[in-house]
Amino acid sequence: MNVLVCFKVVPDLDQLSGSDWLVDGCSRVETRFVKKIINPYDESALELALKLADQARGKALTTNLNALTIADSGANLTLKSLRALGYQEAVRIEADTEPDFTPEKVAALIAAYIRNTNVFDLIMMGRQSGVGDNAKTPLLTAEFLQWPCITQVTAVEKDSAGTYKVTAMADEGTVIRVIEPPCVLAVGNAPSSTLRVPTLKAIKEQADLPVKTYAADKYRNATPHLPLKPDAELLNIEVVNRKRKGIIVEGADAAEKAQILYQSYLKGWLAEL
Amino acid sequence: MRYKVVLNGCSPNFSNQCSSVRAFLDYTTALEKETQTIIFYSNPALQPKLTALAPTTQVHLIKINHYEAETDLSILTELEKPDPADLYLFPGDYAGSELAVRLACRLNGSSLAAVDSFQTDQDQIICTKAVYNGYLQGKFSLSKRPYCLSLARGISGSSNNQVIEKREILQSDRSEAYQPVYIKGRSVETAESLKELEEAKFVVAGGRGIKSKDNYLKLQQNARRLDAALGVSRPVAMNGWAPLNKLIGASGIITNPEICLAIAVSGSPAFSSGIEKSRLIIAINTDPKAAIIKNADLAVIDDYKAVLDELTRLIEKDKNR
Repeated sequence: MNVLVCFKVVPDLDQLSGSDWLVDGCSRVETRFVKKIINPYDESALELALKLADQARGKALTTNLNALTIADSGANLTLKSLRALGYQEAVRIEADTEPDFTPEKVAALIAAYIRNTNVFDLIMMGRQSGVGDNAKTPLLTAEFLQWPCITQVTAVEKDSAGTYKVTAMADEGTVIRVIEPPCVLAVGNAPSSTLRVPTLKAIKEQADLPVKTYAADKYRNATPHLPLKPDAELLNIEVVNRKRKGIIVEGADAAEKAQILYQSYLKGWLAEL
Repeated sequence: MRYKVVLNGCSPNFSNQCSSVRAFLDYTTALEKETQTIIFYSNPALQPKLTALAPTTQVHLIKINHYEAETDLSILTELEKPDPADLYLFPGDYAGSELAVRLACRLNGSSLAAVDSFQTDQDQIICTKAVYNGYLQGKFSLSKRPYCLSLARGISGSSNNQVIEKREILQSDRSEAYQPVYIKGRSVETAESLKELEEAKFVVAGGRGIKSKDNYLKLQQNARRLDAALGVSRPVAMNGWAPLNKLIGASGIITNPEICLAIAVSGSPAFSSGIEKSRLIIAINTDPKAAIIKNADLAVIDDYKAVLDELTRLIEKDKNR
């Protein structure tokens, strides 16, 4: 079985301080110099795929894990780390689009890569990523491929030689489906899915090996019918103000602060409940 | 502009879907009020309740076996040809969020997920939604009809359950249609009701700073003694310290309490959007620079365990008098 996990390296927005969010008249925030992380939902997808491979190995089934990102060469280090973790292929398509607010273009490129490669039976990626918060890429990828899609996935296992067991959150509860591929899985809040860390030895083995890199045109030219424009054009951005009074309750120690908080404020509020 | 509302009547949160759509429609003047609500449902016994809650006079009840996106999408695509709409409106739950994007793709329209406001502007519509992990709000224009929008989670208003006296009801049974062939088996583990946390007047919310599952269990004891519902931020649920149905925030439950005690949470926008409707937010945190401090009405800068234990003791003492 061939699994492709698509991921995106994003700025860690929680590292930005209040003044960094001043966006007067702009439609983007400067994030080039912010520490980068793997989008948390994509990180879960990468780890779930590794767990799937571990579990399939226990059933004497082989899994080929592949990773794909659309990015500049800044993502190469992550791709090498993924190879060190057991991903057989880790591919980068040179970004030809600003990826944050163009999910249609990104999904079209992913779908074209999958069509062109024609070996994958399961596609996994995070349901959403920060900056754009579009929550569209896996859904559009599925539509462009005319494949089914399961969203809010929290676990995936090999069920038999030809089927997978996919666990997903749904409005009615947790839904467990046994599915026949191909399928796109949009990974949601998957507990205990922090990406494992590769060994130093494995990292060293991968360090000098090149990352497979392709030009976007190679795939775009083959799929002229897929969209080149986003559905929704970003006009501007504004800061969301959530500020409240922020009164600090002072006291000599924790117990005194609790007493003041209770007597001066909370007691009255609780009485009205 | 002619619109259709699409609701998932197979879901236990149906009344929340209706409330959020009604609130959104109340704020939106650009739409004709008398268009159609499509309700996919599986349990015939619920028909009267589903119909009564629908936000429009015209209701199309479509019976299916159970919710599957592929089934709903095929039926919606088929219905568009004889009865087209300019706009499809979906609630912001799991089903609505996926259907909006995929339906737009099939109908060659345009989509936007988690929309919190909408207006028309000549040949386009203008919508706003959260971007940059909720730190910012983006304004977007869409120009390809039909527009398929899913709403942001937690939209609420005052006229939630306004009674519509006269209904025009259309019914169809599509339970034999479009069974997704890729699904070879399916089972559902019904979730513990989320209502306790959604409807609680007093919420205790624990964040990453609680540091362990043991501390989560202790926090659970405190919450019980305080008669408060307990929720957590994403890192707590992702670490497996707390079950997923306790997750508060943009990808979890949007609470609406009188009082929220935010314990050892950093205050990221994704979490804050889940507690910002609280009338009183009290933060307890060792870090005076944590974002939650400015986003709270009151803050105690100290070790949360000592503060919470004393607070619990004081509240219990008064309760037992």
